[in-house]
Amino acid sequence: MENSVFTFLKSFGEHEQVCHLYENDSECFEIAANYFIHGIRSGNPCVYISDRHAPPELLKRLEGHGIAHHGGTKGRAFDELLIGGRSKEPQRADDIIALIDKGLDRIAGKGKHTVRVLMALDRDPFYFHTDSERLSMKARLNKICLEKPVTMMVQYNVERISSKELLSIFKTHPLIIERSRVFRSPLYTEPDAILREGGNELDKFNMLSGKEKKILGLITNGLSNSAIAEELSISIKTVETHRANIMKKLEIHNLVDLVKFSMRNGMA
Amino acid sequence: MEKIKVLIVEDEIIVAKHIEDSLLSLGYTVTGIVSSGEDTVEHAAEFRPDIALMDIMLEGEIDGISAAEIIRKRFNTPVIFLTAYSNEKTIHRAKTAKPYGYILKPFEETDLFTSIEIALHKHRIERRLVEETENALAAIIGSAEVFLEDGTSKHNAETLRRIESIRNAALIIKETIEEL
Repeated sequence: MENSVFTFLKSFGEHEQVCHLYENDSECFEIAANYFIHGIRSGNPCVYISDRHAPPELLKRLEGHGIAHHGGTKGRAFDELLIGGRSKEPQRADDIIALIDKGLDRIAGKGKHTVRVLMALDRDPFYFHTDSERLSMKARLNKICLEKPVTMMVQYNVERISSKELLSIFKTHPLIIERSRVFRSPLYTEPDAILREGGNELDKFNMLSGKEKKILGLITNGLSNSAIAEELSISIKTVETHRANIMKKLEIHNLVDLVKFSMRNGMA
Repeated sequence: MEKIKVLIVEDEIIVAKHIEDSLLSLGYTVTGIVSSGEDTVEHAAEFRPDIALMDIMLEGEIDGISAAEIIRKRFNTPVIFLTAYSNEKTIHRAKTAKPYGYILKPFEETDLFTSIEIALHKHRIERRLVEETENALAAIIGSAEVFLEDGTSKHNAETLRRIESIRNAALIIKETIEEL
């Protein structure tokens, strides 16, 4: 591991956010431990946000520096905030954000210092959401970091994420650590810009009426207008009108793009 | 059943009247008689005839062939050419407008009847082909593209290669149908 990454972790300041893309667990714990050690040495409270308890390997590394769980060695402890849990059903992204937000408020109120947040997730909590939702949730996390007295490091196992997820990571994290290197993400986009855009797509989708959503689902499955008319006991003309209205509302001008929009938004 | 609405595009009024009489006696209705390409487009927009009988040589800037192309593309109105011209060059040019029939003057009433019925039948089949397949083709192509855009992060390369073939085959069908 190069020194530059450790120097970087030491000087990591308020509102900064980095994403660590690791290839193996030992690399993950090495960086995580250093992030905490530097934080606690400078008197910043640390919080470990995860879907599982801090793994023994990480605790062992921290113990060597006199750091333990909350309630451990006096004055040198970190908090744990568990979201979801491996055995639990995936939560709604909104709930996860609210939980993180609430937890941060609780911890941030304890001292004047910047809270160092480490988010280590075994599974992307937004995995079951659509691409646009996942992107907006990550943007909202980024926003929390910019608005509250926190610094944040998120760790992802590079082998467990898809290129789509990677894209959303690069869009929502200004800094990336990868293979002992720190670099600025060329794709980083201000969270407000992402939320405006992502919101638009969801807003558009939610503008559709129940019947329009149903018809969109049937079109996505390749049913002809006459088959849809039969299925819903309405006239073909009515189906054609609905289809035209759906496309107008979504501002989509051809059927292939309509199907793609529909699939990306979880209609099929 | 509703009567078939026919538009007559003919600049010789005596011929036009004769065609109108024939159509009426065959049980069609006539939405109107116009004599220029410009009027044809305007009339088709307003009255939406089921079919147009069109002379190739017309008054005005737009000739019958151009007018036929415009109303077919804009209003999906099928056209039968009705003309005295039978030279190769004219027929070749007429083909570009994709007419549903070509009747040479002078003609018999039965020529009119069979041409109109065959043209409408052909037009209905083509429309039905488009209507029955367009959602299905969009579903195939759209789903395939979602797979291809997700790429190798979610799917293996062999699967993607096959999906690409499916997508390309569906695109060929789509383009062929759209050309109709």
